[in-house]
Amino acid sequence: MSFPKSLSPSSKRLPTVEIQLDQIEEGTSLWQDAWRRLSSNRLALISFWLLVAMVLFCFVGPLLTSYSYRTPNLDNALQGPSWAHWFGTDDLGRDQLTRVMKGGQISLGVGILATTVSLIIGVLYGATAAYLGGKIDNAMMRFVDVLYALPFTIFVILLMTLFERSILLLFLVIGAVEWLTMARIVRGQVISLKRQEFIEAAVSMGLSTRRIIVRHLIPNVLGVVAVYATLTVPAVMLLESFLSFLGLGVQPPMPSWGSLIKLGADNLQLYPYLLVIPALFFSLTLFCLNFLGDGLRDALDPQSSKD
Amino acid sequence: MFKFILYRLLQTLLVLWVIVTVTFFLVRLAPGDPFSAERSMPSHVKERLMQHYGLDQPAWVQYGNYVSSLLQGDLGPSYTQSRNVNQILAQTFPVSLELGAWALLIALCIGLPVGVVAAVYRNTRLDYVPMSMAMVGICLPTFVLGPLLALFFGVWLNWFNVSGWFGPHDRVLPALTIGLVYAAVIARITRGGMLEILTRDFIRTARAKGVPFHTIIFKHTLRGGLLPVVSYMGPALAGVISGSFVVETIFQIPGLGREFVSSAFNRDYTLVLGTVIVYAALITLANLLVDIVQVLLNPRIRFEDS
Amino acid sequence: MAQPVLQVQNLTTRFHTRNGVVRAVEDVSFDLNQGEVLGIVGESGCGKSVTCYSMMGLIPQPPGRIEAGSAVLDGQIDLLKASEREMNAIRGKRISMIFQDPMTSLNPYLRISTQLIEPLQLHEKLSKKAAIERGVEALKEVGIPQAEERIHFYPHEFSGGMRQRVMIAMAMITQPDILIADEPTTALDVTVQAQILELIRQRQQANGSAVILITHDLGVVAGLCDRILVMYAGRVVETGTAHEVFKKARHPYTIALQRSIPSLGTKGKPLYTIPGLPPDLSKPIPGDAFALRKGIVSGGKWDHTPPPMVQLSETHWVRESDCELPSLEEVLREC
Repeated sequence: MSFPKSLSPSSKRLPTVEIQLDQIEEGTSLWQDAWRRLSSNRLALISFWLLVAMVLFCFVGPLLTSYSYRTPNLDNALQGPSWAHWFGTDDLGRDQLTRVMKGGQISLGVGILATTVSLIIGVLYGATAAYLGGKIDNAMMRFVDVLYALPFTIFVILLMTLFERSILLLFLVIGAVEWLTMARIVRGQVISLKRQEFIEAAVSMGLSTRRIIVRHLIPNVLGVVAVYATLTVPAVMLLESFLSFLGLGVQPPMPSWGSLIKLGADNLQLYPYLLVIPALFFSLTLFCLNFLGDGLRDALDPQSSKD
Repeated sequence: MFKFILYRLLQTLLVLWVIVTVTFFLVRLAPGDPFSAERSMPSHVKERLMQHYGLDQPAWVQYGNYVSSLLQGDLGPSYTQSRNVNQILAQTFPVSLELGAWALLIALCIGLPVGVVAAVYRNTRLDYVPMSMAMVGICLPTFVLGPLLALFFGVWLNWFNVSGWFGPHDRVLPALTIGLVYAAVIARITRGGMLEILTRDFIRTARAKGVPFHTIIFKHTLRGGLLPVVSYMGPALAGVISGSFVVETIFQIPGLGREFVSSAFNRDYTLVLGTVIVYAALITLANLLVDIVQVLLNPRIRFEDS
Repeated sequence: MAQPVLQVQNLTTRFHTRNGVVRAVEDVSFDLNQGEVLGIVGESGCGKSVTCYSMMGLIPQPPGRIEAGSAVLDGQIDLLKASEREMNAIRGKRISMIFQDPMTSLNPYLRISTQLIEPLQLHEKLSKKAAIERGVEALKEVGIPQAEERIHFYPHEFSGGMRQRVMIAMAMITQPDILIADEPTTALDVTVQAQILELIRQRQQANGSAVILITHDLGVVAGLCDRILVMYAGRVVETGTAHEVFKKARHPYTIALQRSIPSLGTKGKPLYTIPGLPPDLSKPIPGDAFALRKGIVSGGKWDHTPPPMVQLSETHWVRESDCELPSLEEVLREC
C-alpha cells in the first residue's frame, strides 16, 4: 500500500473508511468465506461430491433397476454377482443391488430425519436454557447431565425389543439420544455469544433485540449447528445400523445397510459378497460424512483447526 | 478428597436405583409377558406360572419384593431358563469381562502411543498417516469390522476360528474388533490433548530450563495431555459394552451381551433386570473411578472440592 | 575491557507464514557485559522477545527461521549453531529465563518443588533431598514466607506476584551467567511490579549475573539498567548507557517513547501518544521504518536502504532517520 506524499485533510480519512468497509464485507461474507475455505479442502470436497453421488444412487437408482427389493424369488437365491444381478442376490433371491440402494435410502433417510428431530429438540432446549439462564438453566442442564450418565445403548435396546418396533419408535429413540449433545453445544454457544463484545457493541449501538437475534446470534450459532449436524448424521446412521444389525431396527422386508451387513455376516463363509458390498457402501458414506463435517468445522471456525 | 468420593458414591447409588426402577417398570409396561412366546401354553398353566412367580400381584408389590431380595443379593429366578439369574450372570459375565478387558487393553496400547507420536511430530508423515488410519477406524464400526476381520483372517487366511470361545486363539478377533475401533478414537483424543498442552507457555518454561525433549513429553506434557483420555474412559467402557453385544453375536461368544439381547427378546424380566444392573453398575462405577483419577491427576480440581 | 559474556551479531530471524515472510528481527547486534543489566525497549511486536528467544533456541521452527547472525557465549559457543544437546546444557544453567505471564508459565499439574529443583537435578545432578533444601533456600531468598511448606504447593495456590517470585527463584537457582527477563512485570499488579524489579536487581547483584530486561516500558528500565537498546520494527535504532539514552537521546523514536511515559508532575496535560501503528513486518520496509509511521514516505534520504547506525560516543550509537529531530528541550518544555 502506498500513501500519497502529502496527505490532504480529505484523503487522511481514507484509511479509516477503508477499514470499515473491510469489516462490513467480512461480516456479510462469512458463509462465502467458509465456502472458499471448504472448497480449498480437497478431501472435504471429494467427500461432498461422493455423498451427492451416493444420494443419487440410493434415491434415483431403484427407479432404474427392473427388480423389486421385496418380492422373493427363491429359485434365484444366493447367486453371485453377474450381469443380471451386479451385486448378486440375497438368501431370498432378491436383487442385492436394488436392496443396497433401498437400504441406503433407509439408512440415509433415518440419518437425516433423526438428526433433524434431534436438531430441533436440541436447539430449542439449549437456546431456551441459555436464554432463561440462572436457576432454570442450571436445572435444565443438570437434567441433561443425568440423562448423559445413563447407559443409553442399553435402554435403546430395551425399548426396541420390548415395544412394537416401528420406524417412528426408531426416530424417537435415536432422536432422544442425540439431542443431548446438541443442546449442550447450542447452549454453550449462545451463552458465549451473549457475553461477546460484538453483541454488546450491537446493543450499545441501539440495535433491536430482534435484529440482534436475526443478524448476529442466528448466523453465528448456525455455523456450529451445521457442523455438529453433519457429524450427527453419521452417528445416527451408526446407531440405526447397529440396531438393525441386532435385528432391532428396520424390520424386514425393508432393508437397511445394517441389516444387509448382518445378512452378510451370517453368510460370510460362503457368500462374502453379501458382506463386503454393503459394508463398503456404509463405511464410505460414514467416511464422507465425517470428512465433510471436519472440513465444515475447519471452514467455519478456522481457529479450531489451527493445531 | 474422602468427602468427594463419598459424595460421588452416594450419587452412583442413586443413579443405580433410578436405573433399576425405570427398567423394572419399563419392562412391565411393555406388551407381552415371559410366557407369551409359547403360544400353545394353556391359560390355566400360564396362570399357575404367573402365580408361582408372583407376576399376578400389583406391580408395586412385585417391585417391593424385587428390591428387597435385590438388597440381599438375590436377583431372582429366570423365567425362561432353568438356572437362576445369579447363576447365569456368574457364568456369562466373566466371559464378557475378559473380552472387554482385552479390547480396552488393545485400544489403549495402540491408541495412546499413536496419539502421542502424532502430536509430537505434528504435520509430518508420522502424524498424517496414523491419523488418516484412525479416521478409517472410526468409520468402521464394530459390526462392520467384526465380520470383515472374520472374513479376512478367519475364512480367507484361516488363521483363526470364525466363531467360538475356547482357546486363547479365539480371543484375538473379537478383542481386536472392539479394540481397534476404540484405539482410533483414543488416538485422536490423545493427539488433541497432547497438542493442547504442548502449545502452553509452561512447556516453553521447561525448555528454557534445559529440560531434555523426552522429559518434556513424559514429565511435563503427558499428565495434562492424557486428561481428556481419562475422561473418555467412561464413554469408552459404555461403547465397549455395546460393542460386545455385536461381537458376541458375530463370534457366538457365550457372554453377557448375547444373554442381554436374547433376554430382552424373550421378556425374561428378571434376567433383563439382572443384566441391566450389572451393566449399569459397571458403567457408573467406571465413571466414579474416572472422576477420582481425574481429580488425582488435576491438582486444580482436587483443591477446589476439598 | 573484559570479554563480553554474550556477543550478538547481525541476528536476523524471520517467520515464514502463509501470509508472507514476517521479518521479526533484522540485523540486530549487541554485546552483553558481565554483571550488567541491559534493557531492550520497544513497543510490542518490535522484535525484542524474538531476539531473546532466538538466542535461547526457543523459536518454533517452522515457521520461524534464524536466517543469519551469531550469538556467541563467552567467546566460545555460538548459541545459534549449537545442537539441541548443547543448548540443553546451557539453558537453565548458563542462561535462564523468566517470562511475562507467571500464571501460565508454571506447569499447573506439577508441584512447585518438582519444577523449582528441576534445573538443579538436571545441571548439577543433585539428589532430590539436597535439591529440595536448595529450593527452600531459593524460595526464602525471593521472599516467600513458610517456604518449607509452600514448596510442596501447586502453582494455582500462589498469587501472580508470588508465582513470578517462584519463576525468579527457579531461574536463579543455578546461579546463571545471564538472566533473560521477558517483560517480567507486564502481567502483574502495579503495586507488585516494583517489588519484582527490585527482587530481580537484588538477585542479580547477589549472583553477579548479567541481565537482559525486555520491556515496553521505559520507566521500568530507567532505574534498573546500565545500558539500553531501543528497538523499532525489528531493528536497533539507538543504544547507549542509560544516561545517554535518557538524557542525550537522538533517535526520534527514543524521544517519542520518552514522551509517552506518564509522569506525576504533569497533571491535566494530555499524555503524549505516538501516532499510528508499528509497521506490518510481513512486508519489506525499504527505508526508515519510523519515518513511514510519521507519514514521511518518500523524498527522504533513506528511501531504499535502511539508515545506518552512527557512533556518537564510545557507547552511544544511533540510527539515522528521515524524521525531524525534536530537541530534548522542546520535549521537556512540552511535558
